[in-house]
Amino acid sequence: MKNILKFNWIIFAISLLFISCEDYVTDIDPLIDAVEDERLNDASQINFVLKGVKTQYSEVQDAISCLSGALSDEIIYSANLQGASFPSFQEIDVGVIELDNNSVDNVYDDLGELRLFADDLIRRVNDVNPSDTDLKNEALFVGNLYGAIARYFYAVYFGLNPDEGGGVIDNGPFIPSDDMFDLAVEKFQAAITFAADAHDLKVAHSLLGRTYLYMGDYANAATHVAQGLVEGDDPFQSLHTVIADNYWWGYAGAGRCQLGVDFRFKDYIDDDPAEANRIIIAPTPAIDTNAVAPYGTYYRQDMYPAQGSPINALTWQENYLMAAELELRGQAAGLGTALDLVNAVRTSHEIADLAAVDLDVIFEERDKELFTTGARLIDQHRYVPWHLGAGTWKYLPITRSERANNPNID
Amino acid sequence: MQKFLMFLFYLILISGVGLQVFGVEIKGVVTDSQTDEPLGGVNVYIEGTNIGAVTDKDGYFTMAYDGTELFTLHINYVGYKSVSMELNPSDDLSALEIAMNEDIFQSETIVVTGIASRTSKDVAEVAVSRVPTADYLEATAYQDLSQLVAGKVSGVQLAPSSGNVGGGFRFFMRSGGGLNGNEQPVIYIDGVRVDDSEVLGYGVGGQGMSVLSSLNPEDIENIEVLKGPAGAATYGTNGSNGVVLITTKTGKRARGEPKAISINYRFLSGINAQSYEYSEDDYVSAKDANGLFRDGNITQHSLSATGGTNYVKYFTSFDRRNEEGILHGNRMDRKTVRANIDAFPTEKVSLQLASNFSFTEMSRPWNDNNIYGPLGNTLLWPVSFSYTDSASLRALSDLHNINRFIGSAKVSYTPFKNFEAQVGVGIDNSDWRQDQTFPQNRPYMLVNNGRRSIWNRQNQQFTYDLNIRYSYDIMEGLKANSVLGSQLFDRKAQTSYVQAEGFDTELITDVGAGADFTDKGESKTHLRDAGIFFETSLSYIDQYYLTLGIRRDYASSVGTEAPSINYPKASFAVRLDRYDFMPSLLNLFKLRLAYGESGQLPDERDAIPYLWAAQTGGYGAGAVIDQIGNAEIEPERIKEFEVGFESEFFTNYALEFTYYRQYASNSIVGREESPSTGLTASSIPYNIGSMESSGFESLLQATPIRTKNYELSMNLIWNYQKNEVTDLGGAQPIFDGFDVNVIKEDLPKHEFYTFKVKGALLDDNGVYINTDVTDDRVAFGNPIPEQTGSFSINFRFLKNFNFYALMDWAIGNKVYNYSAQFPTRLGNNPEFNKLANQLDLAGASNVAGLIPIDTTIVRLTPGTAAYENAANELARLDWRWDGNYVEDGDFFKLREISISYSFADLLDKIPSYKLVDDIILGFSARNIWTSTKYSGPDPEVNFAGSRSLSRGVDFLTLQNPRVYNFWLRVAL
Repeated sequence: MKNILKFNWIIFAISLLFISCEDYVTDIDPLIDAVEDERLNDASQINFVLKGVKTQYSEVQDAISCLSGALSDEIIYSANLQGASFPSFQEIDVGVIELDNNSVDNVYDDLGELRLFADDLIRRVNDVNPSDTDLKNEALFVGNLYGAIARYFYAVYFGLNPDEGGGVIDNGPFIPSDDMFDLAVEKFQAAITFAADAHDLKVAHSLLGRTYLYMGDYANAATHVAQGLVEGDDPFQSLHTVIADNYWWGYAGAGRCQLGVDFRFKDYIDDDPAEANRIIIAPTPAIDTNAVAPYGTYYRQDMYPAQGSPINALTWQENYLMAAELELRGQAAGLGTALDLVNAVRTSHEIADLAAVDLDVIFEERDKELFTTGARLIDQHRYVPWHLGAGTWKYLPITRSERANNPNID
Repeated sequence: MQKFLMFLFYLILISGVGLQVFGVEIKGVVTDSQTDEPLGGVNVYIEGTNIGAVTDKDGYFTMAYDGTELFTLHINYVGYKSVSMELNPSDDLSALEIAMNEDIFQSETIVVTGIASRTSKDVAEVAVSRVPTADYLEATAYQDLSQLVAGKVSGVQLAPSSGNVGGGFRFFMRSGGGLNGNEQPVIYIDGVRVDDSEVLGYGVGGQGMSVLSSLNPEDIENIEVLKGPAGAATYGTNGSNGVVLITTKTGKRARGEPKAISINYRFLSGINAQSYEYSEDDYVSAKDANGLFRDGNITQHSLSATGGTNYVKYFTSFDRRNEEGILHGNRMDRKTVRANIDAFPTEKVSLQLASNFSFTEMSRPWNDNNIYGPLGNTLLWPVSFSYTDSASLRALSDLHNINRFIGSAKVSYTPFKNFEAQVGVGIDNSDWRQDQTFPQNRPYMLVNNGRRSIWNRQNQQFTYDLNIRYSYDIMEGLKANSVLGSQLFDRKAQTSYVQAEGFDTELITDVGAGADFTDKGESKTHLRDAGIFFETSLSYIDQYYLTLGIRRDYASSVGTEAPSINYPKASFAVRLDRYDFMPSLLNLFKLRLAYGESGQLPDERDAIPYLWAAQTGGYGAGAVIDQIGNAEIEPERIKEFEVGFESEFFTNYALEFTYYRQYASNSIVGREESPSTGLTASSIPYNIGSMESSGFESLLQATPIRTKNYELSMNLIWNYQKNEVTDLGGAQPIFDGFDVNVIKEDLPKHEFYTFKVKGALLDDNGVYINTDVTDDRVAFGNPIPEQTGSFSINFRFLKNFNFYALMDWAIGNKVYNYSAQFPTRLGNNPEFNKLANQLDLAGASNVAGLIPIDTTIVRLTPGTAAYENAANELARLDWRWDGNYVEDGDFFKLREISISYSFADLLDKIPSYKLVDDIILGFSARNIWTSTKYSGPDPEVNFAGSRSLSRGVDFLTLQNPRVYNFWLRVAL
């Protein structure tokens, strides 16, 4: 009897220990630097989620414009640049890119997140259905606009093969550029329906017009370019800070320079010093100066002189150059003659007028005007001859990680 | 604070005085049975009482006993077999002569065999290794904990990841446990589970600083190591990589009565020196790199005191070590104060208190994957300091201040015979502050007008133990010992950091003087785990031993609802030497078998499906996915079976052998989602992996010579291990940041896995057009050696001289020499430069675009054998293929030597110096000589520190230094 009593006491003590252990380990302090997903399903958190989409966009815009510039004939890599060390940049510069190039990996991953965050914002807003319709419309505008931009980026910058552009969405099959453009168009059109103010509306139209232009649908392009940004309108920007710094600054700029600019930009300025008003470059040292004769030094972009320099991802000047091109392609947008539009752009930089324009001139103007904005690679896809040898990548490759983990991609 | 510590020190010193008890005298002398040398410091006590004494340096003891009944006198001394004597107080006890036999194999030493289990090693059912640290410290000098273990414990690999003073180091126990965790054992100091992190803070390229560098090795009495789940199951989750138990020195009664206190002082002066010189055959810029190194001074003062009575014993110490590394900007200034007190207020109650304060200042050098590192600025390019000029490099600073307290209190209560209850609590509290400065008046890439970074870390760990133990006889010859206990662990860690740039003057470095805050944030971690364990040990006729146990574990990081996990264990041992048929030459032969299970917890946040963080940018703070988890995640489970034996033969020889097999299942594998899903913030953890491993570890000890004036003892350790990842559940192979180390099915973990160069591709005219490589990756070997071993010798000669040496080796070790690969691309490899010019590729082609054109080198003619050979040589050095730079990293090192002389005999002859027991003068050296095929400085380093997935990658990593120490020890 005594032993049974002892045994019962032991069982009781062990049971208490079991219960107290379980309570003990679950009684912990909450996280302070992260939040669980479901807690964002609230109208009060929509603005926080919305800003996340924009923040992610800025992560992509700067890197993708820089790397696409390196793949195009705009930006050059040399290990002789003081500060250069990344072989991944060298691969991109020469168009012989391994599928696990980590610089491409990073921007491809970031782009995937941008697409997800934008789509997730739309889903979340529709689920939460906030009573504040302004907030709801703003969120739906942002979700659609940046979702469209993400799809546009896939279409113009990435490819499955060296000559085959396009992207992938959510583990799906490869979507060629033409089809991806269609998806972007759909999103831009949705964004237009939610645009809250005139500037947002113009931006959406310009971006949609640009997409149509690159698709070769000049009629639709002209329709939307006509409703896009006009002289005096603020640009559509990618915003950066000293913390969320501009990629150009740290890899191809004043912070550290591993990527310089093609010497023709120096030549542009030498030919017409006024070009320095829009092609802002600065000398950057070479380790072996003999290797950069006759210039004696490299040049780097100084469009983004600080970590926090914004990128003008779309300007009224670009809209005018698109309109000028469309006119030359037989689809006037109604913003003026091609020559007037080009000269308006030049005048805004205090550069003398041209006497005549043709497509060659337009593309040279774009080369100068859209310097370091990511347009050059697309122009080389459309019009300007490819500068590298046969078989080289004309797109940033869809990464090994995508190919290995997506059952719908070989 | 300083005054308080002084007062405490004084109080402890005087506590031994006035508490001594005298009675009927028992006198005697204790000697070594083989050499007849007197043994000083031997503990002599009467069983069941607090009555005891310690022998003086001549082996004599005196004690009092006022009882009238028969009593048992126990004589214990570290390294000797215990002696017990049944004595009658009515006999003449004034001239006892006690001879003790040396315990070569430490077989009678009490060792830990489980969380609340201790037994003598000769009956232990699991493999447990014990480092008699205090003995090593007598013979030589050590900088940190890692050096006290490396080469001294079978089945354990341990190496620092760089030559940084205060840098991190990594254990690799047996075959490395399972797939998860960081392969590190759980470390306890005096029962306190301690923080063993490698702290990075604001990085300097790869290396972190070890939290364990704040420990003073001089305070350590011994280190015990349980190497896997078979021994460590009752330690619960995270015991899968074994347990390291560090016991600090406790109070000992001073040698000889009526002496109240023994005082030890050691002064050490040493030098850290460059151990490897870069060659101009390997680097054009070798001279600049060699010019970076300096001789770093080491100074250490260690003062300790011990003493006590039958009721209170104390050990206290103060230590200050000031050490410079071999590169500018690397130093450590460590001050430690320790006070350990054992009290025995009644025969039923004992109290143990241990406390250690450490105050450590460290300065970390820039290196590894970093444009601000001196090695990077001298080894990458033929022209040095291309990224950062030398003056600016020297102006950088990275300072760390660590204040740490580790303390424990344990109360044991024995209310009645055979029953004992223990309650313990332990605290490990540390505050770490980092100050990193880029001066405003110097140019640095990526830094705008100076940068100041401040990083703070507070870490608090509490360990609570409660257990009850009952010993009982089940039947004639069958004894049992049962333990029921609980252990709780609570850890809170908090970091905060801020960084500013844009300073207007270098004269004010206050972070508030920077115009732009370029980084800021904080993090907080709170983890708890708890376990309940029950263990019963049976012994039958002192020949057969069986233990069964189970632990039920709970942890806050396991799933959202903290499921419980059970870990069973079972072990058996038999003393075969006690069979009559065994030959008498076998003094001990014990066969043992053990099985145990343990696990590795998921990461703290692994069980939360989606975590969003706030990312600041030009739009304010927005939500971005920070981590993707899996609510179903559970700990990895590791099962281990081991079989082995311990033997002692011909009295002076001992052999220990253990074979083990480990099976890891439910291993957590991070599955990558394709980037198009947008779910790339982290891989997603699933319990889908498994791996198997096996190996053996052996230790042969011999003391063939043992006389009054000469003693020779030797240890040989030989280990073999292999492992294989058997399943990743369909997940893609997991690569490290450099894409070379891999976790992949059918390969050992961390295998180097990349493309192999077959030779040069030549066109029809015999002209080099490219390098030919395999279509698929191939395995190149592993950065974890298959075989490791060590041989140590201790030779005492002419009675008072002592010579000690330790050499160790590794076989089946590979190193990825990125330090050679990267400079090859940039024209800093003379051999490659020559080949590129011979083939007329310099300055033009992709492979040699940066190689300077040297018109003095004769161009070879395509189509000739010489051209083809050169082309193949160039292909084998082609920097575009990592496999070219995975090298054989086997090594043999003369790791430690020391020689010392004891003046004890001389002092004995000088009456006026009776106060001084001994003076020992010694010289020791470390990393004296290395033989290896590895072409870099050091085959043991790793560029990404001690906790990364990258292993065995040398990328501008600082070599381990050669160390010379002169020391003087005075014992009062």
